Amino acid sequence: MANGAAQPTREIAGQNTLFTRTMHDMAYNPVADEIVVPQFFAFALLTFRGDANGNVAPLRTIMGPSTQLNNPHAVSIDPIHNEYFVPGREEDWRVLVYPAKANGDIAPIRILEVDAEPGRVGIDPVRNLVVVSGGNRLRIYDRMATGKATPRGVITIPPSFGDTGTGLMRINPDNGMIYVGVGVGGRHEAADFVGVWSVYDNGVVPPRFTIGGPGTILKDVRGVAIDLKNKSVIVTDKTLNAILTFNVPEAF
Amino acid sequence: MHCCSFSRLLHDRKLTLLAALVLLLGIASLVLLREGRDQAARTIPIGEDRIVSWEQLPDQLPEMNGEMCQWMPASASPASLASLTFAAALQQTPTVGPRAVAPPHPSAQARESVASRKPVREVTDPYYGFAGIAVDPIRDEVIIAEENVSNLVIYDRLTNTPPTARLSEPKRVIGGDESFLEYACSVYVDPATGDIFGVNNDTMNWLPVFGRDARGNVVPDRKLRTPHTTFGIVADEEQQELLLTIQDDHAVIVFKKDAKDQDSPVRILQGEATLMADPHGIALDTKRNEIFVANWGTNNERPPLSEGGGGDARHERKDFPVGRNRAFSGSGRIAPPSITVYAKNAQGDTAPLRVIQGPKTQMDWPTSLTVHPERGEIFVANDTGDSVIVFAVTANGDAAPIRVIKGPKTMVDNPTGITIDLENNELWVANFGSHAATVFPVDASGDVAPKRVIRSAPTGTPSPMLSNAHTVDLDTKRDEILVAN
Repeated sequence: MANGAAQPTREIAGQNTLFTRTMHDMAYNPVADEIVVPQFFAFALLTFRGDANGNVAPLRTIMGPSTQLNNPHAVSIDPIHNEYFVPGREEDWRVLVYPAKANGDIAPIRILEVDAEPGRVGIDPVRNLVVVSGGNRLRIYDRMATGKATPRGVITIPPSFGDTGTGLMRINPDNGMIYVGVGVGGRHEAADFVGVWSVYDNGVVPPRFTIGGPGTILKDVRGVAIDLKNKSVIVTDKTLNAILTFNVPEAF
Repeated sequence: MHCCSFSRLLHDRKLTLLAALVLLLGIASLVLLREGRDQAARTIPIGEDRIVSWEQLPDQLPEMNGEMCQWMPASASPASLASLTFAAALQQTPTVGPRAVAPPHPSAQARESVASRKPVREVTDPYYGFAGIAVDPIRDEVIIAEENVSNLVIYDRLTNTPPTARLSEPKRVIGGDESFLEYACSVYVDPATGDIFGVNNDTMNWLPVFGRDARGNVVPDRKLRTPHTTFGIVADEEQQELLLTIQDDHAVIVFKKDAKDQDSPVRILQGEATLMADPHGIALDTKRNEIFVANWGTNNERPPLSEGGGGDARHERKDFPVGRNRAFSGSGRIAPPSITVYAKNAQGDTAPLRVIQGPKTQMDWPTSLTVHPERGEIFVANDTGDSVIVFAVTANGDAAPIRVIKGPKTMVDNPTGITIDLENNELWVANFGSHAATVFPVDASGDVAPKRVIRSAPTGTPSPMLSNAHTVDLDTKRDEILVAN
């Protein structure tokens, strides 16, 4: 319920954490009560206790030549099947999957090859789906897809929304709704929004809802979290340098 | 009903319930064990979907007396218990279960209502968050790069916010969509002209240069294309060169000071031998002609610079350092933080002359550096150490600081910028954690109060510590919002 210029209740920061500035992603695992952070300089996945605080070392580190990790800047958790999903970056159009409990230099247990640079990954452990963002599309695969798999569906944002880019997302396991940050144009216009689609959508489909815009408040949308209890969507915006909570029961 | 009869009935019901639960969990455990054996990790469907609905208990439960024990079946696997925890963590309201088809599209009115809705809460810092700092003793100004909303804020050098004052207003502010400032982390001021060089750490690969009188949302006088994740800046006024650290490339790149647009660098320092790892601050010792680079400690391997540069994929530049897009998979490395020292004209894959590294150094995210050539001292803004640590410029190996400025009186709180005013022999520290720039005598040591303070916020105003906020997630166990910066 933090609001305004709130002091953080705790901070995971310092040399022992192995972080660098500007960690691009992080995910909380409600089953294991753990936090996983990708470290894109060390090519590592760092797993912390859920209650980690201060200058603490990770519990586990997935890192080494067998991992094939290369500039990992994003990670998603499947808390039911205990897996981490790591999209590649730039020329690396793959999604690497690891056991969440792994430690050290371990190989991915699956590699999904996608047909464009993957942005971020969303997991629907209920319907066993993986959603990969990137460009103006959301590609939906079977959770266990491996190799050059054909997506079950591809959601394309209609051109009427402008030059759009999909990024960080969360999936509501209850109803299969995808909440994804959509960037539009530059970083100073209030043109961005959080788009809401269903995992069952396919083709050129407008979002069922747009949150925070376009044309309202969001300028450079980054992270998206969903609060199922309060039917709210929590969004970070780089330009506003803010965390915004939208109460949108209609979108749940 | 008689109390004993009720207890018996309750007991019988408990047994029935226990038996049912044991049966269910036994089946679940078998399924999960089977999945555990199958390393292909194929999903075993339990019905249509994996999480099913559950009934909400009525608001008013009938009072149940008697001893209740927490039931823990011996057959319950950690995985199955974890699944139950997950279900609880989801905190879902009762539904008829996961839908098998897409819900209908909402009405245009409903869509518009949601699209135009204002946030119910907004965590943000309304004040400047001081990050990088430069002092201009000739014009009596201090220029601060602030990372909150990416401005350059300029104060009178002698500003001293009284303890009773709310804050001090800057003389002028540069920032806005025309300014090419985003995530402004460092700053340099040209002593001869007063020109201000702003450094953008992420998302904006331009280094804008402003005239000393620039203010507001102005276009820079010129701007220079720089590699992604530039952080530190120092100029060699004697050679008229600009030296920049590049985090992504674990490199120092050197341009002519008047370079602009797509001008090429004059040299690059990059490679395995340099031992650079996530370099941040950079400082120049004009007396000994050495440069000092502060490293946070993580890096990775890529082809040598001798095989050609090749910038990052966002802007292919063969004259830039070898970019992250050419790094070798799985080649990440972790080392303790360090300060690496080179001849100021070093280039290519050159080993440092000295390396300050080890537990005695007290380095904890060493973020910014400055050198006092006459005193022969390096000053380090030690971010998460909440301290300024000072070394001799000749320090090498696991050296302890010769002085430490740290403690509640100092107001040093997450310092990320540091500079020295050689004219007035003053040490300036930008504290991201306290909305304050603090000024000390250069020989300050221990828990000492600063001689002057510039505050951008009322005393004690909390800092949300947001800087280039990225991912957000919800810790459902503690009802906390987690944000990666």
